[in-house]
Amino acid sequence: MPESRTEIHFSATWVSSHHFETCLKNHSEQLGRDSVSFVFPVGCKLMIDVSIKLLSLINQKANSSVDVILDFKEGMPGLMGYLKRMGFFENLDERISVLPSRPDTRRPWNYGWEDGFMEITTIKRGSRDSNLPEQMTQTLISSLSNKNDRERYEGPTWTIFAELIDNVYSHSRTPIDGFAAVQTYPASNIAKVAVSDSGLGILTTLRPSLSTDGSKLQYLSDIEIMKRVINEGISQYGGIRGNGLKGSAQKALKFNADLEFRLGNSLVCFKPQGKRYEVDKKKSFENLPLISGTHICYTYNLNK
Amino acid sequence: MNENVIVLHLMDYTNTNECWGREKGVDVYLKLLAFVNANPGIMIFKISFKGMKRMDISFASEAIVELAYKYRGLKGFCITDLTDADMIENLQAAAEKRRQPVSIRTEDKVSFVGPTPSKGIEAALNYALQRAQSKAADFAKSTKLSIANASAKFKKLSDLGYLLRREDMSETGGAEYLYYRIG
Repeated sequence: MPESRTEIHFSATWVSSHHFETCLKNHSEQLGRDSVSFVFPVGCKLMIDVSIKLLSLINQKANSSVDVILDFKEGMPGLMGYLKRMGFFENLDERISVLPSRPDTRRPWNYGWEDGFMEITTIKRGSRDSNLPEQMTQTLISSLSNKNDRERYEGPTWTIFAELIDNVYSHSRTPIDGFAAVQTYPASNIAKVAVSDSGLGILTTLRPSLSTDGSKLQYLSDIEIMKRVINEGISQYGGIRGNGLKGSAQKALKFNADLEFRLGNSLVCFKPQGKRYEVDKKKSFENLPLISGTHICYTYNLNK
Repeated sequence: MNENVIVLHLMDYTNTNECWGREKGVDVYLKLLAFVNANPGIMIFKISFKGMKRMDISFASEAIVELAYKYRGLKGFCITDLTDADMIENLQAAAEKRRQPVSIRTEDKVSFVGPTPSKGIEAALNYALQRAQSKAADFAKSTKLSIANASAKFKKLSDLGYLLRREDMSETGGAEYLYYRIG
C-alpha cells in the first residue's frame, strides 16, 4: 500500500448522510490524493442515499485515475452482501478494488422486497428510459404494503421521480451513469427517495445564467440559491422554467419530507415549515470535499 | 361556433399515457403546433386527456402551457377528460409559473388553472364562463357598470388569456367585440 494512501473509516453503525459527510470533511485534504481506501468495519450499514452517493463519488474518483479500495471488514455476511443484493457492484467502476474480494455480481432473481430491501436503478446516459419514474414509484408502493393509505404516495412520488430524473438528463454531460433508489425504514417509519448523478450539477449550470442576466442572485451563496430554487423556482433557462425542483418539493411537503441536496462542495438541507421549505442550518455546509453532480434525497415521514 | 372547435386526443401525440420531462414536452409541443398550423380556421382546440395516466410539471409546461401562451388571444386550448388530482396540480404549477391560464372543461363547467384573476375582473370572468360567447354591453346591463368599464374588463380578460376576442358588427352597424369562452 502506498504511503500516501488515505483511509476513511466509517463507524460500526448506521451511516447517515450527516455521518458520511463528516467523515469526508475530516479527510478533506487527503481526498485529493492519488489513492484512497474506504474502510467499513463489522456492523457498518449504509443508508440508501449514502450508498448511491458513495457509488457516484468513487466512480468519479476512478474516472479521475484515483486508486480506490473498498475494504469490507465483515465481508459478505455484512454490508458487502447488502450492497451486492442492491446491485452496487454491478454499477461499480471496474478499476475500483474490493476487499476481501470483488463479489460475483449475479444476484438471485427477484431477491425480496418483503424485507424493505430495494435495488439501485441505473439512469443510463444517452438513453432515456421512459418507464423509470413508474418503476421507482411501484417499488416504493410495494414496500408500503402494510400501510392502508399507501395509494396517496403514488401520484406525488411519480412526479418527484419524474422531475428528479429529468433533472439528471438536463444537467448531466458526463460518461458516468446516474442512480436512483428508494427504501423504506419501518423502524423509524421513514422512506428515502434518492437520485444521484455525476453531471455538471444544478449550481454549475445555473450560476452562469444568473451572471448573464446581471441578476443579484449570482452573488448569493449556494445555500441561498438553492433556497430560491426550491421555494421560488429558478432555472438556467430563465424565468419561465425552473419549476421542476420546486414542484417536486411541493409534492414532498405532502409527506412532511426533509430534503437534502449535495452539490459540488455544498450540502443544503431543508425542513418543511408550513407551505415552504426552510434551510436546516445545522445540517447545511459549504466548503465540503468536492462531489461532482447532484445528489438528492427526500426523506418522507410516513407518520404524516 | 362549433365549426371553430376541434377535439384532439393527447395520446395520439404522446404514444404513451405517462409523460414526463422537458424533452418529451418539447417533442409533443412541436406535434401539437403542427396540428394547430394545419387547421388555421379553428379557434378552440379541445385537448382530451382520455387514457392519460400521469404527467409531470415539466412536460405540462413545455407541451401544454407553452402552446396556450404562444397563441394567447388568438386561439384557445381547453383540456377535457382530466380528473386526476395530481395531473391537475402539475398543470396548475406549470400554468402558474408561466402566468398563463389554461381552461379545463368538466361535465358542466369551464374553470381555469394558473394565475388567479384579480378581484376586479373576477365577476366579468364568471359571467363570461356561463355562456359560450358574450358581449361587454350585456355584462354592463346585468350589472351597474358602464359599458366602457365592462369593455375594459373583458379586454383585460382577453389580454390575460382567459377569453378569446373577435370583432363583430353591432345592430347599429358599429364595431363590437364578441368574447368567447375557451371550451
